[in-house]
Amino acid sequence: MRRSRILAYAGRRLLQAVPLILAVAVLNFLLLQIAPGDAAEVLAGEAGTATPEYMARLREEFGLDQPMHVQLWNMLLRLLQLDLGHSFRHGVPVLELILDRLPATLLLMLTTLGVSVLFGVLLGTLAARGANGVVDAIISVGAMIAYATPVFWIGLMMIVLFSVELRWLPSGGMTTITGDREGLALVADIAWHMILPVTTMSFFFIAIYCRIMRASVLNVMEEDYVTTARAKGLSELAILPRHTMRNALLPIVTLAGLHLSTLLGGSVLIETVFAWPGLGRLTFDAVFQRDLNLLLGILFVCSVLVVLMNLLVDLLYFWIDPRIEVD
Amino acid sequence: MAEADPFLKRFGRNRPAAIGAVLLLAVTAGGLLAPMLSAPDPWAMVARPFLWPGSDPRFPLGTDMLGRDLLAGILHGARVSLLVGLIATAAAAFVGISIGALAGYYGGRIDNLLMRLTELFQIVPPFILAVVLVVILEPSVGTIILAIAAISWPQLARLTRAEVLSIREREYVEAAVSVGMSDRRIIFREILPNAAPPLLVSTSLAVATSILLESSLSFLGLGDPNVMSWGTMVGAGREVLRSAWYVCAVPGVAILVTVLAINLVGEGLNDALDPKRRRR
Amino acid sequence: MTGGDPILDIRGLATEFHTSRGPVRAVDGIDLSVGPGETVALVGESGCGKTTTAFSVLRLIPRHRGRVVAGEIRFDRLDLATLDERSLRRIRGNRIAMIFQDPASALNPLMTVGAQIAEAVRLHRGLGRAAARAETEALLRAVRIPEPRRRLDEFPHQLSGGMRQRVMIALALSCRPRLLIADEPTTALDVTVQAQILALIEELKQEFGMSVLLITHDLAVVAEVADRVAVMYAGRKVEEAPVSRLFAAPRHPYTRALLASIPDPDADTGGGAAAQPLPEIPGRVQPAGSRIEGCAFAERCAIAADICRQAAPPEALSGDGAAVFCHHAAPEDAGQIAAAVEGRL
Repeated sequence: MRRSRILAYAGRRLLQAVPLILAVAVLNFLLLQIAPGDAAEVLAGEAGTATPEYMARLREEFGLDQPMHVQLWNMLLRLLQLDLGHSFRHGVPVLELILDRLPATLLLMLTTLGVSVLFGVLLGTLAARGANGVVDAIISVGAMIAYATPVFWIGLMMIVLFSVELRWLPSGGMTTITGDREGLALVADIAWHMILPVTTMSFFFIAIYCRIMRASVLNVMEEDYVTTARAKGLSELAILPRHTMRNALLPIVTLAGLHLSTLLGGSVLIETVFAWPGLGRLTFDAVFQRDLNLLLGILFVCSVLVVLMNLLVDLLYFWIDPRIEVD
Repeated sequence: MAEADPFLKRFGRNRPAAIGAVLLLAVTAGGLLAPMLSAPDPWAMVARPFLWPGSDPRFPLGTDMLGRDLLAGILHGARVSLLVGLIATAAAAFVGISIGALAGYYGGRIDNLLMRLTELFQIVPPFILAVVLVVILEPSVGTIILAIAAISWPQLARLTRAEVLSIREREYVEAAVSVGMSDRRIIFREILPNAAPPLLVSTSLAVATSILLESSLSFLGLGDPNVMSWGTMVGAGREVLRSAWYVCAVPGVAILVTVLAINLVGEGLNDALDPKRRRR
Repeated sequence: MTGGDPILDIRGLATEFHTSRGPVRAVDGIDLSVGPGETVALVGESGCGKTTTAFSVLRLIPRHRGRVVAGEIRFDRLDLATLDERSLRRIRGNRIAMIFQDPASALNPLMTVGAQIAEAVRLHRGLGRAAARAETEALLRAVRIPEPRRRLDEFPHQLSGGMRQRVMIALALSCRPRLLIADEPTTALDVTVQAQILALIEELKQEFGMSVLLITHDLAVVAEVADRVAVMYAGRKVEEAPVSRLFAAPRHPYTRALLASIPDPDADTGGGAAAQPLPEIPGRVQPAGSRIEGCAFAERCAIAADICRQAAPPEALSGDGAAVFCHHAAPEDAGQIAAAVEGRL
């Protein structure tokens, strides 16, 4: 019964997402309007480098000589057909470029999120268990520093240390160029290349989750049900995962959901530093080449992605916290 | 000043906050005195390239691949970082607090509309939005400030709204409403002053985030081409990372120290303004 | 007393809490014993240390909050005050079980009630998953929960307050304890449910052959179920007596004041033996912990003399296990106390 209600809820939330996605599309349109100069020039990249024929094609394709509301309407119609336009620089449809790069970014993002939550939760619990002790102090100072360090800089320093000096890990890319690995060997190779970028991006998020988890565990430890568990005869070690940490985890889940869009932004920096062939790297290239149409397409797809992933997080929440009622 | 005493005392007794304040003062002084403490032009090629830090006492932080003094870059970079951090945060605070106060005070449809807008800005990945804005508007100090402010206000709006919602229910506000005080007076005289402590803390922490954002944008090559910025320095140093990693390392430490200092001060403010919230 | 050696025998128990201003003594030298099959009530106003006493028995006070600093807690030839953690855990929930004031917060919101009971069953009785589930279902049936099989897989928030307290009782009984410590078991419940829960505890006490240490501020509850009563004030025991004797002839001025402020049950409309709110006694409870030279109640006592403020009152014993701590407890003072209490109220 609960399951069918959750499904109904998911459907309702999907419907609610439609106006939100429309709003993102309008925002995209407005961004294009505030650009100085002819929109065709902006779309084409630096003015003057595009051929006159291409400019003409752009004007026609986007109906740039028509009134604003018509332009907006046309754009929405194109979106409905999943048409995000053409990348002048790459000479292919924007959506194709994005979908090509998306899996690599999702892999990096979700691994980072998993690693961050895991270590943040463990370190935060450790700090809370020894609150105000030496371990707590070390963890808290570490978190404070990690929270203040620019992620791209950590990445570069990791490369210096682990790739240049120690030669332990590859400095960039997703796979070894020379190898034509398959199956498990390929998976291992990708994992090998992920170690540095994932570690780098995790520092910041571990710092956040660690601090939240510490406070959360301290709160939960005062709850009556923890006393009940103790009165049952459970050891502190047995109480920790089943009673304390599980309840303390709830704010982390909320936060991790909110961080999905932060992670997408962070992937621009990480993928730039580590030459990771994902959306972030594509964004950097688009910035470098002033490929605005591609940039707007990335912004749009990322926003839609966040909407969808937030929905998943909501559903995850139902699974974790039975108290949540579906309406 | 007598009433401020307990506050200052609590703040001063907090050692991390005091360390943060001293570091922040040092960074600010460095930025203000940049032309006097080092070369007036951080772009000038003043020495042999690739002087490692400490190898020449005239250039304590060494020189980059073009023979530019890294210390001069750090000191001038402090100006941009602090300037962008402060102005972008001020703008974000103005927009965020206004929107949050309106939404929280009036509720109903205004609240609904403004909160939908805030939600939209939380869905669009903020950093990518900032990148797009700077690309569209061409990189300059002004556009960078605008882009950072554009993505920073929603958080402050949400916080303000929550605070206003809780304060609105209090007796003195209801009293002010019943004697017919104008909405504007109630918001500015009765509500916002009482919401100030948490807003002040969040705003001060937002300065640190703004500085990180500025350095990230300029690292990607979206810095103001006419201004020396720490992020730009790290970005430029990437090319010589393998042979002269200090060119990247030095400006990164400057970012780290500044952001850490502001965070420490912000946390100190939090503890000093809210003594009820005992630190466990 | 029902006879036999006591199941639980507390001697000189003292418990301190750590505070920013140094240690605070919440329980200050309590003697208390519970015999086999007996129900002993520990009563007093909130803040008098009765819950701390209950928590001290199983050493449930978190280490960063406070600890037992003196005394013995004899249970089955062991001293729980000094017993090592491991051995103590084998007693908790197994031979001494506990139920708490607010069943809504005492149950883990993220676990099904079945899982929470089965956890104890598996821990102490070493049952497998399926056997533990069957046993849990039987326990829910024993505490008169309808449709126990379905309830197993429900979460605490899906149950009513009374049902949750029944779940807590089922959890407490899961290993057939010899002693049940019930800390204000009915305070958080609806008036109509209170009587049901008390009746259930009484019934199961017979069925399972256990003793009960009941912590409460509700004298109506005491009159209903207790065999013997100990009255606490500011961390100390001031009087102890069999229940009928305490109600008939209270000897300590504090006990008298407590009893005198209960409304006449006959004048009560409809409520019957339902909970009475805490009686109003002139003055305030001494914060447990502020060290007192003389009698803790002296400041609020109508007949306090100089000696009451200077020296702690000695224990005045009488037959049938009754005791009182008061300088004026000699029989010749009784009339004077009664008069003074009457005059005050």
